[in-house]
Amino acid sequence: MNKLKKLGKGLEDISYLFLSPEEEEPAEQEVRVEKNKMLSETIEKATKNICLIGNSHDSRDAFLVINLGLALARLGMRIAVVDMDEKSPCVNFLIGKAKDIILENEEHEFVSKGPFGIKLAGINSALIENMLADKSLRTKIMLEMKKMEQDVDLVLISVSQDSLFYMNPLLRKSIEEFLVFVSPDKNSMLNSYKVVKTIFSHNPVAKIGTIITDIEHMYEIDVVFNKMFLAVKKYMVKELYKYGFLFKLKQEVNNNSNIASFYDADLTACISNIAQIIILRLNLEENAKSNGELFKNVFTEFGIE
Amino acid sequence: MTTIFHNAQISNDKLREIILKNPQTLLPGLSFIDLQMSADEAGIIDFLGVDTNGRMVLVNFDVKANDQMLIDILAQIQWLKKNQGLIKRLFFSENVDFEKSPQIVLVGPVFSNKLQSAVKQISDKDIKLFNFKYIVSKSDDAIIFDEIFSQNKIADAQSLRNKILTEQPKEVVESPVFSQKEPLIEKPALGLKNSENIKKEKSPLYDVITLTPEEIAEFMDFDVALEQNQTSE
Repeated sequence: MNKLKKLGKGLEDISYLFLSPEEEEPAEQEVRVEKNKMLSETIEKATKNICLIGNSHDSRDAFLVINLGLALARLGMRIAVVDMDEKSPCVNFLIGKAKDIILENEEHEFVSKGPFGIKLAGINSALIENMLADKSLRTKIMLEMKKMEQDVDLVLISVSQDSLFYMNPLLRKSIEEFLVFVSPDKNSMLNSYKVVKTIFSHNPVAKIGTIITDIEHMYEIDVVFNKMFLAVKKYMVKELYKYGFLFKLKQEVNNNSNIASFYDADLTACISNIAQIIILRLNLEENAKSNGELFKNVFTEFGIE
Repeated sequence: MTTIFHNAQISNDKLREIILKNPQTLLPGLSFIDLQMSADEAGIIDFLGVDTNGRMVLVNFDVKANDQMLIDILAQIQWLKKNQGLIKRLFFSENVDFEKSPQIVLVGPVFSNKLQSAVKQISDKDIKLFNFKYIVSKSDDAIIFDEIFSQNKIADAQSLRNKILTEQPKEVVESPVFSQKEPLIEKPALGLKNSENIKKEKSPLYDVITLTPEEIAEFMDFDVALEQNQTSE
């Protein structure tokens, strides 16, 4: 008996070798899940961004960019609008300032705050010249831009077709998606087609979407998009994405007025549709971590380090 | 503190991304004009690029040792020759000199001796072989590209040898290594630049992009198409 008991005791002692530790498993799993969660939280990615390329020389493009920013902000996204349009800058409008005033607020900060917490910054070739000349300005702006990138979920970059010359560094890399405005007009379409061709020649893997603007009749949307899509496919063997359309503005937008106060129910619906498509396509997440290096890369290409 | 790296397996996508972002690592002045281009039976050209002299550059890579790459890329060059008209039309704006024989670049973790011997026999093609090594540490990763073979180097060595043999022993032999040295590129000093300079320096392609008559004609019937749709509605 004693021998058996001894044997039994012996088996108990080594039983842990044969039995799986069921009770410990959930705890271990939890730890692993938490570790993975912590790891994913600390991974910093480049800030999501989208570049909007206008096709007009007036303030229509500015109106659209600003309202798109507002629509995205209303959907809960933290948005920055960076204006790289040389001829008709838009961000000044959003804070009710005149076109020619350099975008610097009362605290002499380069990045300003607009409605719905939208961050605003303007970059043009004059600023780049000044940054090249002035080291303290360079450091200040780069730090502010980095902070701005880290504080937002999406950066909207606004440029016009004429401003593409100094956008080359952006065209080559960093931009996730381009949105080209196209109007139902022969010349406008040719210009937009040239923009698409320029982008693809710099970056063959670019993703380009179109927004059909100045729509008066619904049938125009498909005719314009199909024309552009087929031409791009035929001559460049690439594809275009469709982001939506915008009705023609019913009234002229005043250059010096606060453009955000302008209201048009049809247009607002169109813009909020485009905003939702952007959120879905770019897979935007709220409070995403960013490494803040998007504009650092751009400045580096201009020789600013 | 010394960071310790270990060998690691790299994925196809990651290697593609690295090469796409760093074309100059393989060839100075190389820029890509297309990627993953289908060449029918000859397979897929991973990267199609152009160097500073306008010569077309074909870059294929594999994350595993693969001797088949050489056969594929030679077949792809034949396909490019056969479809020169189409290629010219596709890349008319890229300043490609179609008269020049394309440069071949193969990237792989290792190339067999058999492949390296075979490459030496293809003297009419400019071929470069790059080994890569992908290493990771706890927080970082790195990749090393090592040029193990270049047809140019053989040609340089041969021309140097011929030069030494033919020239008088008393004369100073100028090494082709020095004669071919690239001019030093001076980094622009920080200072006030006018916007014209920025335009010139940063926009080599800005004014180059032009539309062909066919492309312009494509949009000329737009008004008719619009009218047709209007009446059908």
